[in-house]
Amino acid sequence: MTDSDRPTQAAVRVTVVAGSPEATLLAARLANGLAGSASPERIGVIAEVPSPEPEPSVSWITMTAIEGERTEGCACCRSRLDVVDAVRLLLERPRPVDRIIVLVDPTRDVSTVNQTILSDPDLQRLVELDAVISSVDAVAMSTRLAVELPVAGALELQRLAVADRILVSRADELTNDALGRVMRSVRTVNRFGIIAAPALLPVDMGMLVDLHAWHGVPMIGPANAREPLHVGPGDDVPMTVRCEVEGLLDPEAIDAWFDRLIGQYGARLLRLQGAVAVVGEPHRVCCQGVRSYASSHSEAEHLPRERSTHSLVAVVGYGLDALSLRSSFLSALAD
Amino acid sequence: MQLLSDIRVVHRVALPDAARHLAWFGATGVAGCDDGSTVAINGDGSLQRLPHPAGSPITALAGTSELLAVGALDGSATVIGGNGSAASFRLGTGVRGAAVVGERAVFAAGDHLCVALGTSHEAVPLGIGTLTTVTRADGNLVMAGGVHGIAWFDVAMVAHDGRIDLPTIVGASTDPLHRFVAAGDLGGSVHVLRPGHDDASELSGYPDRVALLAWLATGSGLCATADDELTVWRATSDGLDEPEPVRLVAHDRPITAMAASPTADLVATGDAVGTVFVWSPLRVDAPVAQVQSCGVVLAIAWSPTGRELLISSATGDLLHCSATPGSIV
Repeated sequence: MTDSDRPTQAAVRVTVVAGSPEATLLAARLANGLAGSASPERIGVIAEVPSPEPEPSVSWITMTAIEGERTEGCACCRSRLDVVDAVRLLLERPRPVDRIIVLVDPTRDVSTVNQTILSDPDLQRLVELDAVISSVDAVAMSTRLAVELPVAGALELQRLAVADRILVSRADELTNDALGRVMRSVRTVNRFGIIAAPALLPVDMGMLVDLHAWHGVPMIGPANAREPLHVGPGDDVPMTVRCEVEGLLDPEAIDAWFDRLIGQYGARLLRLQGAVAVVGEPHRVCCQGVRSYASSHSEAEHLPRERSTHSLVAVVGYGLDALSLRSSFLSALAD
Repeated sequence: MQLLSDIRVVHRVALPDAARHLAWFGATGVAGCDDGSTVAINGDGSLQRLPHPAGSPITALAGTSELLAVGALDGSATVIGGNGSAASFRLGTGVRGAAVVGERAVFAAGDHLCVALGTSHEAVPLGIGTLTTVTRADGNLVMAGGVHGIAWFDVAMVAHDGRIDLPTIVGASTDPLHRFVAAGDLGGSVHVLRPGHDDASELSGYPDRVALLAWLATGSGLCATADDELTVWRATSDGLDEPEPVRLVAHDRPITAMAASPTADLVATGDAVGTVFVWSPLRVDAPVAQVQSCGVVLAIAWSPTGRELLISSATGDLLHCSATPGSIV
């Protein structure tokens, strides 16, 4: 792991909005709502398509995705160059925006955007990843579940697995049973987020921004739900492994655990987040990462009064050996 | 001997918006701004708007005494001649790089390289994915960098002249003696190539991703920035000396802009808090001059004579400086 000197307090917050075609409307309405609120903010949106509801006070930048590779053909360190350029365009100017929304097209990989925001040197200087919001079409998913078609494609499963908020659209068009199955299926994939159905209960903007969700102790459920999911050939369902222990960890042992985790799973890691209490550190050390990138900082940077000996790390990825990860995490306890 | 003896601000100009791209169109400095305007900076510090479709941020700018090439995020491109003629056209996607080769302007947009001559233009796919940069290499040859490597392209023939698979290229610079082109990739390596050839030597092991590249005027060294550090590799006719480049450290924030003088072995670097240093690789312990701008430095451009320097920052300010080369006494 590398230490990060990210200025967490001063950085502009970025909300990533991804998902079904409704995500474009969601991003536009969120941006317009924040720009027109009682405490109006200057909002920038980075997207591949124009705004469906243009609002002059929102800086909506339309750019074609450019996905760069650090190593030829290697998926573990990809970077979205267009997002880097657009963020600089929104922030390095006389009147920078106060907040940025990145809209990820349904055909794009949300993990590449998340990894870019966490790892690019320019973005580390300018922004912090606040949260990922995914939308899912309840009717489409319910239909797929009913006829045992793949519940979602690989990209949609990734979006659901790492999201901090999942907005289920068209929930009012389903029966309670069908909606319940959709909700349980989404929860099977995602252990982090709040799942909401705006058609049944309006969602306040405050539920979507300023979550600080990619830093510190993850808000994660206690155990995996077990809704059987049918996936397509070659696809796999991302899983979330919760590793936790009470007591101080040996610094070398926990470093080795992270190194092994990243070395073993690399490109298959979609999200890594936690806080670990380590011998010799007055505060817990927070970690976050995507794929082969991970960084760490002291919990004192955002929670100066927090002192805990409880360590919790959530790992989201493909093909994780949960038992092995948990047992090796436990074995990092200091003597 | 190329120590700078004096640098002073002649004009402080308020641009219409932040300028991410600066160039010289003959003896006139030009700024490409985020509001879509392209402005010439007159000798008295006044601004003159140049013809280019307004509205979208300028994303590429290149100039010589004969031509100015302007490209924008919305795909609009304009070629302005020294006689004041202007031809605008629209490419399919945002422009990410521009170069001028004789009477022709070259634009990198999407996965195509577009060559413009007079009022006509022709776009050719290069097969290296989305293009990220283009630089003149030698004669009619340009090097385009893209997501999947680099391609040589003959601008006069409007034809490919070779391709090399590499990680994503994020920056490039040509040796003023036209012996080499250096290309930095997203993984942190610098590839040094001979124009038109398909073999590349690699400078690797660099601690951070190389952000900016520039060759010294005499071709005696390649400058690269990463984070707050400037590194200079000594160059000979055989290539670059590894593995011990000179490291120049004075910035305490990331370097965000760099330009090498075209006439003297001087390089100017600007950082994220507005500090601009001018370095002579002859003196490695400290910069030879300093200018303070306000806000993140976005672009720096030396005049063709090496006697003037433009510095733009995120606040929309532009410093027009005079530079006086000196010598070791």
